[in-house]
Amino acid sequence: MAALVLAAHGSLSHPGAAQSTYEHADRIRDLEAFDEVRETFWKEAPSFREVLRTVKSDEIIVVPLFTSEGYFTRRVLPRELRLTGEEPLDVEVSVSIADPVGTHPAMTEVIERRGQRVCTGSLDDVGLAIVGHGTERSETSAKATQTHADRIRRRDLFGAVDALFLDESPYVESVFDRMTASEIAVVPFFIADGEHTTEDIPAAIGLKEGHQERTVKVNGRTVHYSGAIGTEPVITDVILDRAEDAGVDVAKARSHLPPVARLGGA
Amino acid sequence: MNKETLSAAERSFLALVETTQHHRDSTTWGQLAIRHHAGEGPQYECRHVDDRGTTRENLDQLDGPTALRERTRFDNSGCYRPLKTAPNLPTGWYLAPSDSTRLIEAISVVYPASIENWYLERQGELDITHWREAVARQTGRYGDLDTIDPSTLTTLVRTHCTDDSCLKRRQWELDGEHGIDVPGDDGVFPCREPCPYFLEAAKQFQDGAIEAGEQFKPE
Repeated sequence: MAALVLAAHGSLSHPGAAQSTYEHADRIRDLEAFDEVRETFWKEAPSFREVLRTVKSDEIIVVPLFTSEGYFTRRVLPRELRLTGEEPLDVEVSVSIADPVGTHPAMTEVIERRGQRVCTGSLDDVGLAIVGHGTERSETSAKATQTHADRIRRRDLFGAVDALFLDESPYVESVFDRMTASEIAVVPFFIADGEHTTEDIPAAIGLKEGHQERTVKVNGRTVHYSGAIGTEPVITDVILDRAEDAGVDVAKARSHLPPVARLGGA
Repeated sequence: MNKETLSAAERSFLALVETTQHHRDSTTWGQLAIRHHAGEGPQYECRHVDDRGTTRENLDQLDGPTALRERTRFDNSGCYRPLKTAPNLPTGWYLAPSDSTRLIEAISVVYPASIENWYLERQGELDITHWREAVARQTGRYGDLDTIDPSTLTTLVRTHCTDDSCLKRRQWELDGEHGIDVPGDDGVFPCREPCPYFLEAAKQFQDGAIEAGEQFKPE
C-alpha cells in the first residue's frame, strides 16, 4: 500500500488553521486504505522539506490541501519536497503530487451547499460572494474560485454569484459595490480557518473578528458569513478521489466513509 | 504493524530507549520522558520530564495520538504552540503506548521528524542546509531574507535557537565556511536548516515588527 501525505499551509498564529487537515487525516486513517497518513505544513512541523523522510512506504502520494493550482502547489510544494529535478530527493521512493483538492469539480457543490446553509429564506434574492485568496504571484491562483463561481452561476440557484479575492482584483472590499442584493452570503473558499477567514475577510467586509457562521447587518445589507469551507467532511472524499487519480485503489476504503463525508452522500 | 516494519531509524531509537533504561529511569527526548516496561500491559510510557516524580493518579491519561496531539498543541496557559520544539510542552498527562509502533507514533506527534534526523546525524548523513543556501531557495515574502547581515542573523539565532527557545540542536551555520557564534545548544536531536518559525522571525525583523534581540511571538 502507498502512503498518503496531506500538505497544507498551517499557521504560526492560529491553531485552527491545521484543524481541518488533522480531521481529514484522522478520518482517512480510520479507513486503513493507506500504510501511513501524514500531515505536513508550510508553517508548522513536519515541514514540507522533512516530511518524506518520516514515511516508510515505498510509494508516496502527496495531496495538496490548497484551493487553487497556484503559487504553493506549483512552486513552493514541489521545490520544498525536492521534486523539481534541481536537487536529488532525500528518500529513495516514488513520490507523486496529486492535483489540489480545490480544483476538484465536486468543490462547486461544497461551496454552493455552504452558501445555502447559512441563508434562511429564498435564495433568489441572495448574492453569493465566493472569496478566494488570489495572488499577483500566480496567474492561475484565482482560476479555481472563478471556475466554481461560473458553475454555480449557471445553476441559477442564487440571485447573483461573484468571485472576489483577498490579494488580487476584484478585492473582497468591493463586495457591496459589486453586488446589489440586499442579502449576501459570503463563503470563503479557504481550506483552513486561520488568519484570513477569522480576521482579514471579516475586517474587509465590516464584520467583527471571529469565524463562526453568523448573520449581521452591514451597510444596510444582511450578510451571512460562513467560515472556511475546508472543514466540510465531504472533502475527505475529495482527497480520496485525488489519491485515486494518482493510482491508489480507494474503492473499498471509500465504502467505509460515513455518509456525511461521502461525495453525493450527504 | 510489528517490529519488522520499523525503519532503521526507529529501531535505533528503540535501542537507545532500551540502553538508557539500563542506566537510568527514563529516556529524555526533548521534554519527553520515555520509559519501557517489561512484562504484560502497555510496553511504554511517555510523560513530561517535569512529571517524572508524579504518580499516575495525578496525571491525565491520554488515550492515543489524537488526544496527545490536541493536548500538546497548547502550553500550560492554553496558548497555541506554533513551534513544536519550543520548551513549553504542557505537563500533567501521560500516555501508555501498547507497543513500539505506538510509541514511535507518539514521538512523531510531539516532535515530528526528530527520530529520522537524529538517526541521519548518527549515521553521518544529516543533510544540513545552511542559512545562505536555505534563503536562496525562498520566494514570495521570504524572497529577500538574503539581505539580512551576519551580525543581525547571529542576534536572531541567539534569540530564537538556543535551548531557552528551541530544544533542537542547531547544526546549520551562515554557510559551509562561516559559522554563527552562538553557544548554548544541547538538544538531543538536531536542527538541519532554518525552520519556518525562524524564517518568519527573520521576516518580522526585516519588516520592523520586532527588534533583532526581541523574540518573535505570533499573535
